[in-house]
Amino acid sequence: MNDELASCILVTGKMSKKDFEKQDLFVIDKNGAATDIYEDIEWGEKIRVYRRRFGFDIHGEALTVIETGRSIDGINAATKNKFSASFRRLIPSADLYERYGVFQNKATGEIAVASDYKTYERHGEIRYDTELWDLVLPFDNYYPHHFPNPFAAYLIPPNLKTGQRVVIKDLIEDFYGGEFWDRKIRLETLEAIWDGNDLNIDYVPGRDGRNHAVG
Amino acid sequence: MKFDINKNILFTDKGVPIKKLHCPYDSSWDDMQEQSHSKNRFCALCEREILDTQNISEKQLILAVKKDDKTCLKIDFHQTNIELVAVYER
Repeated sequence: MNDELASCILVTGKMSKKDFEKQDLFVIDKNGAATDIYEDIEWGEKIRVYRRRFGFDIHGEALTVIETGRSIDGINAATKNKFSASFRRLIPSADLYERYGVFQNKATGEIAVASDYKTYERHGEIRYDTELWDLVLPFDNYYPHHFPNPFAAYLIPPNLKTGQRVVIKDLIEDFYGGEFWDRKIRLETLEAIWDGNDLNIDYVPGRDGRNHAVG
Repeated sequence: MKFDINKNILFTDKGVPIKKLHCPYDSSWDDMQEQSHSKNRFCALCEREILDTQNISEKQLILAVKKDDKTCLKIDFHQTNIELVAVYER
């Protein structure tokens, strides 16, 4: 097994099919082949399973990458090359709205923008005490992402097979990927499955967007 | 070493707990300041250096946590010196 493509997980105790699928795991069968067929596995103590790496199949092959057309010219160029366009409207997700207010320093007149009276920035905690700062524009929410058009299309190559897993490089839909220092993360890329008519995006909250732990 | 991805607990190879990773700010490694002298990074929220566990032995890590039990660690899910573990109840 190539360590670059899969990390090993030792499972103790019984794992359900749901756990297995949710965590994107696979095992090596008696013949040394990678398999994600759950029914073939007798779950028990200390099963060695592998977590599939994002963007690769369980055999270590890179998944097909699906490009996104965000302009008419780009979409037309793709359809001329026999790609089909799977259109989506851009619908801002309420999970990705940010809060802001504008402060002014009473002594110096300095203007500052912050999401609260106490915020966390890269260099630490910042406080806007009411003795020193006026809130000159009250807090409100806004959607912080910008795109050239209110629609876009996934560009589907002609040879895509039904059931094929792919990587979407530039997601049209909004998917929440966690928060950091008051800022919400919009996932840029996820995997999806082509069902013959459309892409079904594989998004699991809590799993996607997490590749390390700190604490 | 083994890291339980469900409970965020780091264990020794023999299964003795070393530390439960918990960050009240849910901080991300990518946004921390790099250090010139090491692979560790500086977390400005807690004003602490976060220990990159990538190239560190179990013994060194235990010593660091024993010396200061508030030592913050970073574990990449793809690093080779720590095995990811998922413990499910029967």
